[in-house]
Amino acid sequence: MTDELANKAADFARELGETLAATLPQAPSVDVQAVNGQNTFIVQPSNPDGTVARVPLLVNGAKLAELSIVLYLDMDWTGTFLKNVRTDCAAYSVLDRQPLFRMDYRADMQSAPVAHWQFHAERGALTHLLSMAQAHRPKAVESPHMLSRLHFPMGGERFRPCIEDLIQFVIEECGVDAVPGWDRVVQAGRERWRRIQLRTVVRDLQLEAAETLVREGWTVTPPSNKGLTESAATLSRW
Amino acid sequence: MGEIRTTTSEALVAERAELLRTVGRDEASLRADAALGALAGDEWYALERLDAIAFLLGEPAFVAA
Repeated sequence: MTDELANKAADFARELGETLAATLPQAPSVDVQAVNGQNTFIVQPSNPDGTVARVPLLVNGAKLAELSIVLYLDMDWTGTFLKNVRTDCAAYSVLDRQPLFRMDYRADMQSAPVAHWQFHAERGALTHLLSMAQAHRPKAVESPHMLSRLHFPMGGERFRPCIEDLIQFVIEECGVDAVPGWDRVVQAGRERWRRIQLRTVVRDLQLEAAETLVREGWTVTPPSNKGLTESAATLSRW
Repeated sequence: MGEIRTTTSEALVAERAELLRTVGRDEASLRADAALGALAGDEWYALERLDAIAFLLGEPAFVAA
């Protein structure tokens, strides 16, 4: 574990912690866990004693649910940069400690969408559809009785939602308590996230970016020291 | 905030054993039920942490997709 990478992971945790503290009341600190000598990191809320913590979701001060957030950081393919390779977010009810819904991302996902929502709920009419479909396509529909087995795709690796989207969802759509001024923090964080994603997409599709800029009146000179390559794999995967 | 907590592989292996003891399950059956989406309340919590431990140990991480 190099100091530089560890510091980047710590910056990542600090930024997430500040966002949570400025949006959801009683949000715990966010820290980094790492194994000596390795360049993989787990970023998640934690208690002062280092144990895993969850973000309480309060309604009028009463804790009714909690949010679990776990971010996995690993080296990218160049072996140079830290990359968020997986994010697991889940809201749990205090009533039965079952997930209410989950927002997950895995860069190496093979069968399910790279980024997806899962809802732990049931709907009779949808179960009927899935049951009928299972009779004809059992591999596609393995568990027609469980809506939570469906992965609702949400933009793939590049255009997936950010943590700020989840925070705004629980505040505005689920009605949980918020820290005054939360909306400005969420908007700023979301813009920061989307700018980062935009830069990544531009790096993936440099010719496309150059052509767009030329159409807008820019003069763009391609680099002479390398051939133009395109990396569109993240755009076609669901 | 942003504190880096370093641990050892041995500590993580011990934590995994304690987690499984607490939920009264072996990891294979827990993951098999996770694949079916059929976990009890605290087992969801355990699975989350088991995945994080597997990742930190450099093991293939499984997912309850």
